[in-house]
Amino acid sequence: MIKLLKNKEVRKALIWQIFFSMIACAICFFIDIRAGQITLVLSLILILIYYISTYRRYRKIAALAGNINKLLHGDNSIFFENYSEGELGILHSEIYKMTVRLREQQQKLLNDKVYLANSIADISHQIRTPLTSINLLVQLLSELDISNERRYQLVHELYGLLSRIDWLISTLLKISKLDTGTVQFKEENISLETLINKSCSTLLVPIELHGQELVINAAGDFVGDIAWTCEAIGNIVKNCMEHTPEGGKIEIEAVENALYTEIVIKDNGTGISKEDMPHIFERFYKGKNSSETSFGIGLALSRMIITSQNGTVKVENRTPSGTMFIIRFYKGTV
Amino acid sequence: MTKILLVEDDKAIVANLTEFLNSEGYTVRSVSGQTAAMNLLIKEKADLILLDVSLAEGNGFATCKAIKAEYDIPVIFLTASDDEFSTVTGFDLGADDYISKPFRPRELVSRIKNVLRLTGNTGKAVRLGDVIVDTEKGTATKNNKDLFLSALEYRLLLVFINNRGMVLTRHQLLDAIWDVAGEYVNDNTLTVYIKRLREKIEDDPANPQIILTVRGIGYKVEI
Repeated sequence: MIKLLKNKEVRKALIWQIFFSMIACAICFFIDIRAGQITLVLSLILILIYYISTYRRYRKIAALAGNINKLLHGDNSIFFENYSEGELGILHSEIYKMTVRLREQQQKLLNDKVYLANSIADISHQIRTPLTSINLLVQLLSELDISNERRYQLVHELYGLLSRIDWLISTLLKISKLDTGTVQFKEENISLETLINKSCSTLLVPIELHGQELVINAAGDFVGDIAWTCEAIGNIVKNCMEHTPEGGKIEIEAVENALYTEIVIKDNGTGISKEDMPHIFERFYKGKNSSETSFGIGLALSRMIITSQNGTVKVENRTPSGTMFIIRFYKGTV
Repeated sequence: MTKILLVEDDKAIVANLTEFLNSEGYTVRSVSGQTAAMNLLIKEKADLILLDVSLAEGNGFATCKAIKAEYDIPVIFLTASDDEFSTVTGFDLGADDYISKPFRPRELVSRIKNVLRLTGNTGKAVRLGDVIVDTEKGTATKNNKDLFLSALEYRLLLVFINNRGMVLTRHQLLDAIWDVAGEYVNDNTLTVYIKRLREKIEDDPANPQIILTVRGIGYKVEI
């Protein structure tokens, strides 16, 4: 109790109270001795009440401070209950909200760490396979008496594997950038025709070599990040190309209306099996018909890019055979 | 001999790339940073500069800007892979081309040749007999009629244009188109494409005048 007197505010208030009480008592004593006695007793009682109530409040504040201190030192078992009313009650509830927020952030940091560890594990796991092949190829190449033909063949295979690893790393990097929300999507205006041509430009030669036909029918404009969207469209077209036999046809149609911008990519290939359908956009999911060289992340990346720009992507099988990807970028917020 | 200035601070890359470019017939000088590059250029001429964007000393972009401000030497950026920010900024600063790491050395040589050709005397339009190739637009015309070359046919033609006067073996041709084609090109496909290209650009495909066969070795397009 005496500690309270160390508090400057309390001391000041007490001094003023005592001062005015003494004046009041003096005046009352002057008027009538009984009035003075009553005033004296009343003053003492009032000062005592003030002192006690202040003491109680400060005790509660001290308790609160003590709890916050424990929380800062890592004791997560402290819970602040709202057991008082008035200003102190409001303070309690605000502090409680803050501790909840702090706990959420702590959990999020932990989740981020776990996510990072998993991503790194994914990458290293996926790279090990082509690295194993590369080791084997280098071993074969180190043999002294192999023909030039064989040497070229091995070297070509090596280059192929190196390309795949490069692509894998690039794509995983892009996926993690999207996952952690560190990508700023630009808002650029471009015609749908230009966008689709750009998306397919690196695939023209492979499509040609597969003996496939690419038909593009586009009208209207697109607003969004060109580079990322080209990547998304390109990965889907690449997927169609890989699942369509020689002589097949890949068609891309794009339209724009007041509600959305729609890009439809269809092929007349083998289609997607029922078991694979719900999973094809999952990371590292390789369908039954996929080539051994695919990692299963191209479509996952495409979907992430599309959904991050207020879009949706769906896939259906066509009749008699083939696959159809429907991408829609909605204009308002959905 | 074409002189290349390589601005790169990774010692392994410098050593191996220098050896490779030397074997391709280029003289290579290498420096590891911006200051050294600028100092060297005062004393020696270079025909082309390969500039690593992520230098430890100095800044790749600043170096490019400094070089372009004073000299008219073509610059090719070596960028971190898929960094679109880098490539767009690079072009804004006047870089002539870029290639992202990790790159296939053959692809680098291909770009070097392309850039040297574009900034050299022949410029963007190339004449092969009756055929005019506009390398900026990517079109080829014969007697003013569009040849409608497919993507791979055009690419193959470009390889010949960039290596005029030199004999290219089948392997070199396959290597050169590997990057656009991926793993799909086999030897037979190459034969088919040379045939198709000849059918489109030659007056008499059976007696080719533009793409000549060099028996036992490969093909050649004369200067």
